[in-house]
Amino acid sequence: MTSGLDASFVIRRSESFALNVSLQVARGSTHALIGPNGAGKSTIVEAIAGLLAVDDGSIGVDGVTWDDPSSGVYLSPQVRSVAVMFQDGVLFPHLSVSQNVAFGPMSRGMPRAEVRTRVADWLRNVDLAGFDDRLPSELSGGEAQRVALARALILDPDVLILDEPFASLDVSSRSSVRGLIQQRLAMFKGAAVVISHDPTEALLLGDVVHVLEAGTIVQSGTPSSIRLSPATDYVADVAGVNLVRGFAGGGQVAVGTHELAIVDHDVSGSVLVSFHPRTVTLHPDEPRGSARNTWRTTIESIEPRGETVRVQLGAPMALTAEVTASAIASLDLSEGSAVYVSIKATELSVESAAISDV
Amino acid sequence: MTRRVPTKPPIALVALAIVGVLFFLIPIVGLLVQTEWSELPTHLSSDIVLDALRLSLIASVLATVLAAVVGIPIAYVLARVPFRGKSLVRALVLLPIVLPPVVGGAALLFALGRRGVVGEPLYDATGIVLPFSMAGVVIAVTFVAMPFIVLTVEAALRNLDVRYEGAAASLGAGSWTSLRRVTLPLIAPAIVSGLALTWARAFGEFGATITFAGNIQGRTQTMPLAVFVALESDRGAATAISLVMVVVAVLVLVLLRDRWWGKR
Repeated sequence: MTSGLDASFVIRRSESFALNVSLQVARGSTHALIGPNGAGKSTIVEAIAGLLAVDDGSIGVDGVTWDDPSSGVYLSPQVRSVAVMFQDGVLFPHLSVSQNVAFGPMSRGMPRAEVRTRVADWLRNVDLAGFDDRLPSELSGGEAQRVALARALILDPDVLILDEPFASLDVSSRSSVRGLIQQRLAMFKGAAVVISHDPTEALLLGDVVHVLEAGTIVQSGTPSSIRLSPATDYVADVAGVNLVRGFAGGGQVAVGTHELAIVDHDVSGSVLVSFHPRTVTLHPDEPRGSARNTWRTTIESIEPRGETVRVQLGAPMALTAEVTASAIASLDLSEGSAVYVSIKATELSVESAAISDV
Repeated sequence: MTRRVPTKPPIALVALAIVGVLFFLIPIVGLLVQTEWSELPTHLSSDIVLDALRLSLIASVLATVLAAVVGIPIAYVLARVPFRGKSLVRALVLLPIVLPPVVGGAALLFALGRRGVVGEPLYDATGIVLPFSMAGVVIAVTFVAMPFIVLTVEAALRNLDVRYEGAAASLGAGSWTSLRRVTLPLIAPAIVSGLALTWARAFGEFGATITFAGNIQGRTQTMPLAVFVALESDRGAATAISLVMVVVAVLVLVLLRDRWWGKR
């Protein structure tokens, strides 16, 4: 039997909608699930947590069955070793920070003194020492998510589910919470599942990324394989973004030997630059214009996708460009041909990245 | 701070609203004008008034406790447990709100009276007679007032984000722990306002009480009944008792102001 989470199940929510997924998450690894609203992401969370029973198939952890209608096994949520960090935290608003974190151990009957030490340890682990007596209403979004993470991890669960952990956060707290979650996931011994609608987060956190559309996993793979060869239009649209890591300073981001001009002159340190392939334009000759990022490269592959074509570009920076099929014809582009790339600095979204990203 | 310019309301609407407010104000003014203030201490210290006040307070508080003990579980079952015929059960429980209280009292009499379906075997077995007793007063006012706590608490449970209870369950809380530590504290404001409504309804109950429990001073004559009797014989006493009830009602409104409507 594999160690970790093994979930292959069907849930029929209505006549027309059935969720049919298969997830095998080994201990110590993190799988990310991305998909549009209504794809069934939260149903998966509820099924693994035991808030919803599956109609077919089974869910098990380390060879122990949690839910399997064919053998009549169904473990209630409180006996499953699973912790969920819900979207928006879902902290108990009437309990203080330390009471929230202590809720799990207390419910499972841990002695008070031990609970107290553990809670103190975990508040330190999420950089919230001294926040014990605050109420959730007195916390910022980022602090609330830290509490939710501590509340989930204090039980040392076999399975950890992070449901849209960044959806309610503003950009500034997002990268610090993401850094913390990455750091904690690296130490986590169980199987972790991250649910997200934001491809950047999913690609960063997941060792394996699954794309869920209309109740079915349409593509699974490593972040880079998903990014470079998206299987459906939805994947291409949301996950097929260009992501480059670099080092920012003075309105420039150094990516390898190349430099990208960006708008923000104040950002510095490790950053993540993302931009959509359709913002990358191709030219047969060196362009003159307002785009400050222009360089010469070669076309590695051309992949038609209906009306548009995804063009993979090589050194100095592996990128994808999305252009119309007619543009390819009129520019007379083919694999191996040289081309000029240009991207406007305003199209680049720059986010500071935790040290562990680099 | 931006200041929002208030929209100009239609004059006709404001005029009607003023008429409506006067409609509420005039009876209170009438009561205050009629009150013989110098006689007030005498009236209020009479046996009739003190008996009625004591009985009203005891019956309304007991009814509120009973309503909480039984009504909150009804609300929970209606909000959370799926079963067939739920809308029928809900209609049955809320019926006393729309049913004329006299009819409620009569129905109680038919069921719990000495010749009643339940009353007769109860009397034969234990010798207990419910009508025309203080216990009868409590039963009558509970019957009429309990639907208010059911209504308020069920609405609060339905509006409660189910994810709180989901979070509690996945953190290892059993259904009882979850109820005690998460659900009930989260709907506490609704429970308080439901209990206040229930208590106020019980305190003012007239029709079911007089029909089922009768009008015996010191045993079943509550404040509203005493007012009704005094109106025939001693208007001074009637205004005095009414005044006490107005004061108690205003006190409850003031005490619950923040909880009931939130701080505005």
